[in-house]
Amino acid sequence: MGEHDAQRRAAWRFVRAVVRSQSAGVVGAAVSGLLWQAGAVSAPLMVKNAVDHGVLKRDHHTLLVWLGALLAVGLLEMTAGAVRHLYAVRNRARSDARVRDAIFAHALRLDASYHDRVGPGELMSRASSDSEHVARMMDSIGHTIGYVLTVVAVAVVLLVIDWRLAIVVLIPLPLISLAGLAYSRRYHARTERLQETWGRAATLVEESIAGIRVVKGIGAGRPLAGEFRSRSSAIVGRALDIARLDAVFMPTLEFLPLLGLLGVLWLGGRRVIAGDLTVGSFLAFNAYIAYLVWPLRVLGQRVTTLQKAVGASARIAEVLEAEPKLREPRHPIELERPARGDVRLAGVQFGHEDGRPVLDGLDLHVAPGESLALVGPTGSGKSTIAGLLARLYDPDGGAVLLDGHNVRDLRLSDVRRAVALVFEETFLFTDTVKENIRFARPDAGDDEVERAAVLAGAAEFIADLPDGYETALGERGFSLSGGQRQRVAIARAILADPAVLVLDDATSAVDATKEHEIRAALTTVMEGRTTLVIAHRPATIALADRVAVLDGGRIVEEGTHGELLRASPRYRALLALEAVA
Amino acid sequence: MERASPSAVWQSAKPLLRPVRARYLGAAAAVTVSTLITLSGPALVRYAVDAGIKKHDTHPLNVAALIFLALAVLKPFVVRTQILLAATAGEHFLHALRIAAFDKLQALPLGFFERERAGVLVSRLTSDVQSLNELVRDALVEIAGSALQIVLTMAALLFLSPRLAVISLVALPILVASSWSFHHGAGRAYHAIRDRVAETLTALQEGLAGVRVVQAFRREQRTLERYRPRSQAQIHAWRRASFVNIRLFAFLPLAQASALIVVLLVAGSMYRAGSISIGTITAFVLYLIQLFDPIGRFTEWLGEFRQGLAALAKIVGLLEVPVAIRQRPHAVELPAEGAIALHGVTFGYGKRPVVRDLTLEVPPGEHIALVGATGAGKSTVAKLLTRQYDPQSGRIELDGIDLRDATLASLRRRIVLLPQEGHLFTGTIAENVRLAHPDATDEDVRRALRRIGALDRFESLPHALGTNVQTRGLRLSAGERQLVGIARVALADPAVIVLDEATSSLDPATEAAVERALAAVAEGRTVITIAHRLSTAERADRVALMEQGRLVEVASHDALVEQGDRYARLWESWQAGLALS
Repeated sequence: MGEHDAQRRAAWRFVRAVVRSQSAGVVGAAVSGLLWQAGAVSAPLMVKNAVDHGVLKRDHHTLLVWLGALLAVGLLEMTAGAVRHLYAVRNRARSDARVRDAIFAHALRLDASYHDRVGPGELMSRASSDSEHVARMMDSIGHTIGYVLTVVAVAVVLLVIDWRLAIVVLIPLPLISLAGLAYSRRYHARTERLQETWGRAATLVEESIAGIRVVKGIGAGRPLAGEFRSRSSAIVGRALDIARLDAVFMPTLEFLPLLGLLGVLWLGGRRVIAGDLTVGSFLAFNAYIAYLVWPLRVLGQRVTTLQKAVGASARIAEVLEAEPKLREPRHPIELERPARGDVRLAGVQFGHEDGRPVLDGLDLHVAPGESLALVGPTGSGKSTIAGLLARLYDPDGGAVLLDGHNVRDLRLSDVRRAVALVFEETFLFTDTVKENIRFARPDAGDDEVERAAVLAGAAEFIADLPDGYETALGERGFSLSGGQRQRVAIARAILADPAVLVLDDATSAVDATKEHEIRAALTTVMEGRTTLVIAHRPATIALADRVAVLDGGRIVEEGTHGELLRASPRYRALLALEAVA
Repeated sequence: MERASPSAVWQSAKPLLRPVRARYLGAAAAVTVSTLITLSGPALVRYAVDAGIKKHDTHPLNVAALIFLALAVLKPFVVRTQILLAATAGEHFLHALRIAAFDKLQALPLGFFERERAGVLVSRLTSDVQSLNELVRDALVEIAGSALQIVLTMAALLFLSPRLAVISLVALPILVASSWSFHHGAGRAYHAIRDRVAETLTALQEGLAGVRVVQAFRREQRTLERYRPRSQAQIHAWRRASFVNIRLFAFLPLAQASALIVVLLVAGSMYRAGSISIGTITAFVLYLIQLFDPIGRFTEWLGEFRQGLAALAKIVGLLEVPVAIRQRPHAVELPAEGAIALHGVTFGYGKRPVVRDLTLEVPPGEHIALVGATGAGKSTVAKLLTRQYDPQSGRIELDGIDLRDATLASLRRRIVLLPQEGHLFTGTIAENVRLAHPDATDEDVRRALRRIGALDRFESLPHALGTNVQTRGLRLSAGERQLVGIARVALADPAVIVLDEATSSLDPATEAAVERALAAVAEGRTVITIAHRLSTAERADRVALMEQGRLVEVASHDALVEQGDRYARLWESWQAGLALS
């Protein structure tokens, strides 16, 4: 319950922050909303005066005066109404963008361990679907304030005409607020649940499009469609939960004003008969109450609009309040530029969530300009070391040192500038080949991009592409083979010109017959650069100055490829050379 | 993907609306009743005044109050019914629309996904559907309700004074002109919003899916900078739409004021001439004021309607993408023997054929390797075999049945494509294996994993097969992802496997595990491998060499090497390449 309350407070805090962020627009919407309804409320007064003083008194001149006033009021209502709408849409669109931008910017700050857990589909759902609820609330502000004015104005007019009768009419008003209060928490909670189901559906859509080749290949379309059906039904279920609240709350909102009307009809009628009230006042009373019905209904709906926004905000705030696990140091140490590239892991501990260790007191040193190949069975933690070096994660114990400084004491951007990591899974953006390479250094010239491509062994196939470097790549780099994608990624890293280059299985998809083509290139790249290579092909491993064998979370053997080959049966087994030899 | 024309939208929406038609009609009936109740209020007041109050008779007043009470009590139930029916109908319609769109995605060929961006497709199924919410739940019913109220009020006006009613039509040109100008601009404005939303979501999707690369190269700022203009463009699209909107409802107060002014002017002179009573004038003016209330709501909801229609047109645009691969009437189940035959198959994506006059027979249980340079047409053959496309001439048969005559379900069951990348979905290992067969038991999953020799490997994970694939530090390696993919095939139990061989090199131990798994799953099945390594071809029963879409050599590896022709030369250079590495 305490956690839930904290969440609720965070949600309200967020709603307030969004409102404040659009304060000018909100004031504009409020003022124009007030003027708009001021016009709307006073129009009948002009009509009344036109009838009473013009038509009834057969005074053409006075009639014209009041009709002129009516026209003026109509123009006011028109202008203010238009301005109110423009403000409403402006507030809506801007707050929507603000929420979305904030989520995106924050997500880009959150580290790998968060993104391992929360996928793009889920985040997109918060940035669009949840944000939409907040946007709708912002849209309604001017409208709402205008209607509040109407209710207050009508209440005042009624009180002036006959205060006793007015009280009877107005009794339902506090009841309506009470009903709103009573339902607000439930709206909030149910909206949150509805939005969760949307997130789950969006995740499935995103993942099945991302993996469409697997889905089609295995004929999983039908089962996935079945799963989507059930997630979509869950949305229906949760949405109808809210509809069931509507089905109690909305009729209550309709019913309460009717009680007031009934009171006026019966009590007021009796008072007229008793001679305490004039027929004219009685009719005026009825006419004015009619003006209350619609605004009251809309105000009631705004309770739900607000609560839905709060419910959605809880989910948005959850993302925005997630703290990156990697913290920037308060007083960062300056990393000399260019970095020397001295890399040391000292007593590094790193475990799975359940506490099983991956790295268990690992010590490793790579001197500036040295290249080291990491070899070990699957799951031995090679990729973890790669991630630690680029500070995608922090170790649970021990330290990762770059040029003698703990990476935790360095600016994150300095570490990432010094260390370039090429992943086994290549991600290419929807853009040209050139821009995909240039991604690492947007200010690089075309010649630099091309030189990087040559070094990565990618120049040849790029030249064969329909538009060469200007060829547009699909989202997943569909048109390129796995090996070609990897070579583009290597070119990207080369262009970044890092002091430390980490190749995490980055040539795995390069055809064995083609790998020798880039091997010479890799040698050039590794020259004078600290390089950590994770690979499986002996020829690639042999490029490194030194080889470290990883097992059980520690380095168990070190040496050159040749030494280990000669001395270590374990090493030979790892490279499966025993069987071959 | 085009946006659909209005008639296409209607044609596509009609069958989806049919199942919920009765509920919508019920909601419309409820809204009619509730409107009649609302309108009966003034009538009851009039009766109470004329028959009771003016004559100082409490009886009619009591009667009116009682009827009013009965109606007031009835109304919440009517409103409740309307809310529940409209919500159920609307949610089920959206559900039907979502799953139609998802099913459509599963029916579209792979080529579609290479052209369309994932973010756009995701937005069709999430954001576009969600923006229909207001339309299907409230707008349809509200439009019906306010239209009824408009008609009834106009009837009352005509009844009270035909002459004044005709005169009040002076407002009509204003209304017609403003709504014409609104509808003229609304379509484009709202379609622009949907397009901008899709573009924003695409940018978000790509940034989030590639977040690791973005962070590794410190491109957070640049990614945001590239995204922001799109986010801003969405704000501008909303702004343009808001200027279109105000054409519609800003002029309403003006129309109302002018109608009232003209009516009062004429009524004034009629009153002076004694041709109209003050009671009629009062009633007429009251009704005229009341008339503009539903007109206001009508136009407001009409705006919502146009907005929803734009989103619907986008979704229908997806639903309307033609699907070439359809099940023929009287399609038959494919047998499970596994004899594949291609007869004179020719196919090309554009004008140039990629596969030319290809004839090949593969007996049940044979393993055949398709080899050839990149672009020789191997992958296209794989797509034809799994019926992602149909041949332009010639035919492909499984056990003597043309694939085009088979049911799609049996085709997907008998022939599966195992792609090189092992895509994982959010969820556990078991759920990922179960992808193609959601009703497979845990034991089935274990059996499939055991058959391919991967059970122990996954059982040793922290939560065995229930381990979530997203757990920190436990991102499955490329080899393990492939094993999951192979286990899926083992569970699917097809007659024919089309294997797009992985080019990635794995660590030798995993590589061996993957190869054992493949051998186990291939046993007793027909396997057509798109081979990237000739070592795979060497192990196959037969090798088929493709060049520029044609089959140039088919025989066993040994025979082809013996023959000393093209394959033999390829083999020689492969051997040389391996020696180099």
